[in-house]
Amino acid sequence: MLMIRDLTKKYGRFVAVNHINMHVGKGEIFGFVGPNGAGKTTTMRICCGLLKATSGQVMIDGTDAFRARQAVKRKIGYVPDFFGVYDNLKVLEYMRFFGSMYDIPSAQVTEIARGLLKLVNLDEWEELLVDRLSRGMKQRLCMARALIHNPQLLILDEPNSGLDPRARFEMKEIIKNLSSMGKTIVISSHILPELAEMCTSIGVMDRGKMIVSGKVDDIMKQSQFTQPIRIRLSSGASEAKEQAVRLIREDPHTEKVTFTEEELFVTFCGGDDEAARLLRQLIQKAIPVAGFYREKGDLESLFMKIISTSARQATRQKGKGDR
Amino acid sequence: MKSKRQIELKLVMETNPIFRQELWLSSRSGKIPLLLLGYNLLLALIAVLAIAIANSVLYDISYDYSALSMLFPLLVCVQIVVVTLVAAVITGGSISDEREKQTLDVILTTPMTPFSIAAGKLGSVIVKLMMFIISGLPTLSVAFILGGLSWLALLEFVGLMVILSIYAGSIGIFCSSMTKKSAQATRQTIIIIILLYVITAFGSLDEKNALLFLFFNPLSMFAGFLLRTLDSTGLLGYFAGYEIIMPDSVIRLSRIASELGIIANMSIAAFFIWLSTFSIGAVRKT
Repeated sequence: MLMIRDLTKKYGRFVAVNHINMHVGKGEIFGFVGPNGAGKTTTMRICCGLLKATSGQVMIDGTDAFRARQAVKRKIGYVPDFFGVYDNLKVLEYMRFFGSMYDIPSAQVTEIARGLLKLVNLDEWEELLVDRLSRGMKQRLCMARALIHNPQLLILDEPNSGLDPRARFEMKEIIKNLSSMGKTIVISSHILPELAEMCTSIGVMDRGKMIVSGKVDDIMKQSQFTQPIRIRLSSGASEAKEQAVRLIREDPHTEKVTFTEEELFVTFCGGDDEAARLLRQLIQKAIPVAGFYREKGDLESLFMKIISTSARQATRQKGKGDR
Repeated sequence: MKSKRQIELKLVMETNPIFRQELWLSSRSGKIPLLLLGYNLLLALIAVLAIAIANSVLYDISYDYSALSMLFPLLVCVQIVVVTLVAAVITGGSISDEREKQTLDVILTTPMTPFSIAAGKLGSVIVKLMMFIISGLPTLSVAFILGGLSWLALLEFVGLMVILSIYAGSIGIFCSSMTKKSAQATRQTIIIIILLYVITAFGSLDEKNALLFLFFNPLSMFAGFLLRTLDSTGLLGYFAGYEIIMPDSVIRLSRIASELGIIANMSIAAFFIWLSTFSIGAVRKT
């Protein structure tokens, strides 16, 4: 659905987006992750046709976004990070206004708008002035507005920023709902646990570069991320526990071992093969393993690891350059 | 056969969502009614003063209703100034407000082109200014009834005011598209209009290019119109204090000058709208 090739955006000597490549398949939810100023919004704005790229290509559903801009506009729905309101415009009027921009006949636009307001739980508020809505409601209205022309691709720039937990939950449910309807969604957010829950794939950007992108699990594996292992031993095997701790500590992929009465908690940076080998060794030494479970790493820790690695590399390169 | 731009222009006025939404929102706001009220009070005050002066003349010396026809040139000048100022005020926020509220970005992600946005805004400005022009007609009609002005002159005046609205409105939209603050855009619009008036007026002092500069001065359209109107009513001689008979060639020339002035001023308006579309720009560099 969305293909970005070698996309670059420069402001004078400053490179905001540096030769990024990414691919988002139909029906996927792609999470854009990165610190402030990483280039996420710039990339999204280029995709929407709001900014001109310095070089590169953006293809949306097989159409070149730079050459056939008008055609592409009908395929995307954009929700910016800030929701501007028109004073004196009611919720339904706001929807009708945007509907008319897509040449939807006025007889149909009200019906479509009402359907979408129901989808985002705003159907009771259609006669309310837009500037009277709460921030969460405005963001939901903005989402409904972006869907008025039934776009295949939704670009959401931090739709959850500034929302309270309940509003965030509602927004998350709407996004999941849209995904189940077959919409492709590109979303940026700083609330990583929520992204991890929703996204099928992510892209981590830093200093204008795409550090890593792909399926969340694949990235965890690629980046040798420490996914902890929980090992439960049979009760009353205290000697075996000491032996197990020794054995685990000897493994080169082990970073740390902590334990309670019942469980060993291993910070392990190896892949699935290494974890399987460790389990085999434990069993061979006749340690009574009652449970062996590899936890999923959290996106926040993965993000911090990737960003700190990227920062170290950037500092090293700068050091070389200075010399 | 109509060109693509002509068809687009027709669609702008018939179906442009920006045009309709602007008028819709204005109808809910108190800004335009208040401005209209102020404007009509000003016109009424001038008319009452003129009638009071005419009455004093009546009791002192002679019975001469044509003195009331002074109202016509005076009200024309007031309308020119007011329409220019109102155009600057109502166009000041037309694009800058959208940019400030960040609604422009959302509109630009829809199939609306920068031209259709600018044209929709300009269309709504013209309609609003028409309210001012039309609401001022009853006061003008005092001079029309008592001073022997023709219907044709009144229609010509309305036409010229529409041209002035397009001229001032397009400059206002251009300034609004260049800045984020509506007050700043209003100031810039007034400065640009005054500069255009002054530069073209001074330029016309140059013997070689006098006509060229005059054509680009909106006031010259009205000057030609006033000359013809006052001549046809005999008021020119009344103001001069002796009888003046304008040669037909001068009247014809003033008509041609007005027509060329219309073309020149419409060209300036088109130029500013063209510049606005670049400034609004769907694809921005920054």
